[in-house]
Amino acid sequence: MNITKHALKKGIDLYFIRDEKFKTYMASVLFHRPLNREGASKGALLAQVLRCGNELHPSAKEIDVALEELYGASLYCSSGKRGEEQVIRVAMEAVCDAFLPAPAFDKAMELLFAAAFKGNNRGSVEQEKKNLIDRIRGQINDKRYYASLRLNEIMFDGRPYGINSIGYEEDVEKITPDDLFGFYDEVINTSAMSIIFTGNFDEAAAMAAAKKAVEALPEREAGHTLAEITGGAGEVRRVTEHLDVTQGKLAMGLYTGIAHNDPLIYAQMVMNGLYGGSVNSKLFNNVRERLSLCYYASSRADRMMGVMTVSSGIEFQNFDAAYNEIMAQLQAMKDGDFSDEEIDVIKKEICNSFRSRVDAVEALEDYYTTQILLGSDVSIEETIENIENVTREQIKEAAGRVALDTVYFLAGKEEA
Amino acid sequence: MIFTKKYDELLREETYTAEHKSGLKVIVIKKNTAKSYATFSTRYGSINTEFVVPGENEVTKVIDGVAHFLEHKVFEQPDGSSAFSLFKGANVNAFTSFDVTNYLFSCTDYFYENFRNLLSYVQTPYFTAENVEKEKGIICQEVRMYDDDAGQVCFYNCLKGMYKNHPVHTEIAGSVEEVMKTTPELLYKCYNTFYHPSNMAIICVGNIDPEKLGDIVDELITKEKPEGEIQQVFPEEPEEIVSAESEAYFEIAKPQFMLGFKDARTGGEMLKREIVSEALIQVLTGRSSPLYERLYSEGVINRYFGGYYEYGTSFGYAAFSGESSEPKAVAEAIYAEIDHVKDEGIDPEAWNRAMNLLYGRYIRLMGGDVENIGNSYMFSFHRGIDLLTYPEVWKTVTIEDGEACLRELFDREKASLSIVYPKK
Repeated sequence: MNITKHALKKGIDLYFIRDEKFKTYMASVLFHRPLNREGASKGALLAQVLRCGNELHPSAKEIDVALEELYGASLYCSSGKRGEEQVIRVAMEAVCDAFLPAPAFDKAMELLFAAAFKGNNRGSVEQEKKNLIDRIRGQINDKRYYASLRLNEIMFDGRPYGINSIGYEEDVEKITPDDLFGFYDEVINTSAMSIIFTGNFDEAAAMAAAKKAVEALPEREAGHTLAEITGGAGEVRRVTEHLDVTQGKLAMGLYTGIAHNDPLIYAQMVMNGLYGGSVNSKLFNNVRERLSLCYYASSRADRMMGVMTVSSGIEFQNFDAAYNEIMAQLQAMKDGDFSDEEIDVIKKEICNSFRSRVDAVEALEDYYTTQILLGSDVSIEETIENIENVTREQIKEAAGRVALDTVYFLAGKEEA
Repeated sequence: MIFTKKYDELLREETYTAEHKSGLKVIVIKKNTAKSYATFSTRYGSINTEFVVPGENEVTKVIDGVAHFLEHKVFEQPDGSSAFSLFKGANVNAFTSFDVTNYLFSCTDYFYENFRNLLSYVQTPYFTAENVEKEKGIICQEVRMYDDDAGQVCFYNCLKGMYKNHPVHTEIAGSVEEVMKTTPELLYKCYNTFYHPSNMAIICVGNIDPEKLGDIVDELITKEKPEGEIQQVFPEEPEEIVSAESEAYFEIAKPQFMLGFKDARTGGEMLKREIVSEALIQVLTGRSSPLYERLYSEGVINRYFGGYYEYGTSFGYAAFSGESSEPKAVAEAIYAEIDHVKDEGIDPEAWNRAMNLLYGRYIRLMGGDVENIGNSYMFSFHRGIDLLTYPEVWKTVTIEDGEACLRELFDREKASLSIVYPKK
């Protein structure tokens, strides 16, 4: 599986990740911007407003009628963050023509590019502001997610990554239709852009559609925003908050001390797997299986920020027991207390998850989007090879660099 | 084992099916994927709390949550290790639904080796007083996690509002009190009843050689066909609902709701009923429907609003769920739209679009992730449905079927509205 790149214009690149084995394709327009507080709210609102109408399909209903006529194609509009870069994405996922009673590709492209570049439903802005505020407030509904969000805000307070990617209520309230469409103009005309086709599609037709879509757009600066990777801050921050919940949610933030393109990044992936990234990990086998403290205890790493987070749902009174065990297992990692067999098991799991990506258009696009952001062209096969080559010493070194930064605990009201 | 091969003209792929001497069904759906998916599932879920063991006359009644407790405990190996550690380079998991328990893995390499391990561990129960006790701590934390989930509570309150006796109204994992009452004897009783190969299926999706797979099944499944069948017993369920409305309060931002219409029709042509019901739900409340457009533009619903049809062989319901500051107004609008369409008839254009959407959704499912394909096929299979007949059945569905379904399923008297409000 390979990606091919075609420069359409300065700052606008077209990518093809093609495989005929698929029955579907995903076509995405990505706008890349440095993440800042103002842009987070406006980007999230813009994504919702783009879903509500454009020059070809003036209302959300007309977009939905068109999608149903395209045999239930999907149009996704979102704004999110990857490290300190904001990515606003408009994407179409649809069945390819070979499996449909009537061809639909050309119409699907018209809809996608109209949604991305010709959004015009100013009348939807006020309602979408309310919907966005609902989404922002609704982040409290899922307590595990909410705890990870609070951890992130506390750990990265004052830095771009600490910004909530769907924005802030007080900022959203102030946005006028003019503000929003001014922002949209800026995004379309100045943001670096990637157009990515993944799956089963005709390259010539895709190329023609993409070229036509960007014909009238100006050149712009290329390049991406990469966060500076920092180490542990020294003093560990400890924050406990209270909500009316029956189960406590523990969320811990640690610095990996390993930058995006550091050769140790692969050792870090294996280290995270051994520590808490798998059902064969130390956290799962000890915090859950041996001590029966929880249903889930896991870690995940974010390469873009050099951060690892641990999360677990526990009884309030078991905080110390869970925290101590999580830290004891981290120490075990630093001490190199893991067998070659464990390393082998985890490496195979990680390689499996990378190999599996070639089966899903979304996972493929996601993998290559990370590569595009990193300015890297490491293929999935090369990533797998790099993981296979990781040594015990490298894992120990990666573990040695991990430093705890923030401990967040969401406790119940009666604990206050 | 002798497989029967079938070529699917639409998907351009082959499917192999066989029945093992034990009565176990084996299905291989061939796909040109890097990842392969294997499931070993039993027709046994949270609703099977009453049954007659083959060879016995008496009905056995057990507490709630046993199927789910078993799902956890089947992973325990006699040496105290977890079955997770048997697998190589695989994603290993299991889940329990209302009517099935499924043990699964997916991987890109070592498929046959992993498949051997799947068959072995699921067939090696090892339940002791000690290891059952240890699991209670883990499962209670799982139950407590769901207790904090407003969506889960909203869902089960709606089912409790619709079903008086049918066990579909109880939480799959059971309650903390019932989990605490679980014993090794109880687990063995249910295991021995429901984990016989004749009550199970192996469904695999991916780049798999059926012959090689069949040889492993022949080697590792040694049981013979049992005498007699398991009798699943369900309490008599009235057509009426229990309550038209229920409320709960949680620390959430906006009210959440689920409006369920209890379906009195069970069994019969279930796949056709599913397609007709889904199409009708699209026509009534789908994103291109007049109702959705109006409620969305008025700010009464948001993008989380949606409807679906759910069923097993002994129950069925249509549901509409979402967030709204005025859940009761949403329910009233749905009732009004149902009456309106009953009077005016279904708009043929809207019906055709809904049918197109279902067609595309099927192709996207079958062209997508092998795990989704396997799970969808598995759920259908245990209800006696061959998912691959979907396009054939789809072709037979008419707008008249939609009109009939509108009258049979969508009766306000059979609807229950569950609301979870934010705590003040």
